[in-house]
Amino acid sequence: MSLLRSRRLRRRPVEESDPRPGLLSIISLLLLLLPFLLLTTSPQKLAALSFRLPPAGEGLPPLPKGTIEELWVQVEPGAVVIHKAIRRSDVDAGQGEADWTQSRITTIDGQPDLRSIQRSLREIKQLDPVRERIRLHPAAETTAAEVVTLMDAMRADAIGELFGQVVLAASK
Amino acid sequence: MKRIRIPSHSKSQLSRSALTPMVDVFTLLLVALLASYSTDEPVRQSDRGFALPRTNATAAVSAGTTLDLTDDGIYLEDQRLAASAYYLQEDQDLIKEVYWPLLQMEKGALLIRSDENIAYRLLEKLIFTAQEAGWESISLVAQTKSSL
Repeated sequence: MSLLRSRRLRRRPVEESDPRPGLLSIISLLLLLLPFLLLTTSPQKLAALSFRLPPAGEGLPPLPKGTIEELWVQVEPGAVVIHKAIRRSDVDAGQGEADWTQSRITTIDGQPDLRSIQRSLREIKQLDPVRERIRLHPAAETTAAEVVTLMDAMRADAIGELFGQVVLAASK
Repeated sequence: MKRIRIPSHSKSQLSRSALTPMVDVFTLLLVALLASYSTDEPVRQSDRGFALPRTNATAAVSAGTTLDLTDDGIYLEDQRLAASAYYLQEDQDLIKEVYWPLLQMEKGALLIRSDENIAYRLLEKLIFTAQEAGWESISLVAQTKSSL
């Protein structure tokens, strides 16, 4: 009896399973996938930036009436200027009267200060959340890369969408 | 002299410790490749100095007529039509060499693939020319920031 008890209590040595076959199968799968992906991928992932254009000789369709009557961004040497016209809502204001304001955001090391631009545009968006359209007037010397960067900054910021319809206008 | 005995399980341990980082590296590579995977045809591969602007946008590029704008020239469907330098200095807004072929072509989507350093003055002229030729759907092509 005592012999039986001692046999029962004796622990069997636990056989450790070999992990190598599992790992090797994963590695072989990855070794097949990686060259295939490396050979077939293209270094450039392209995206299309569509912009609104008025038909030749015509204007864009009018926007629904909102608080912001006019809104455009103009690139100037050393600064980006945001022009806006806010409709006057006080009782003595006449029909179509608006307050014109502009905020000048100076460039940093020759590059537009995107954070400040987006902060200003976010404030404007909060005034008129329905407005989708904004006009961009790049300078004649503005590079294509800067135009694309500004268009990106005007479309969305870290919080969300800003102005989805960017109208690329003539340089001033 | 005593022999150093290697325990039988050490070989397995060694293999496992060597294989695990390898699997980790491969997995990271695979994820990075899948995130940046693209089947888009590279733009102007032969032109070393050409680089598309970078964008945050992710809208896929649809098929259409391509109009390339480089430091050297303006190309319609890879055919050189005019010199960029000439129209950068000229006052005229309409690029005649581009206008006539665009006018005769079937209208659809026009994809402008401009070099990142091209001045807006020239881009504006090209957009104006395309508009005058009756093209309405015009897009700027850029490469996404997740490109390799």
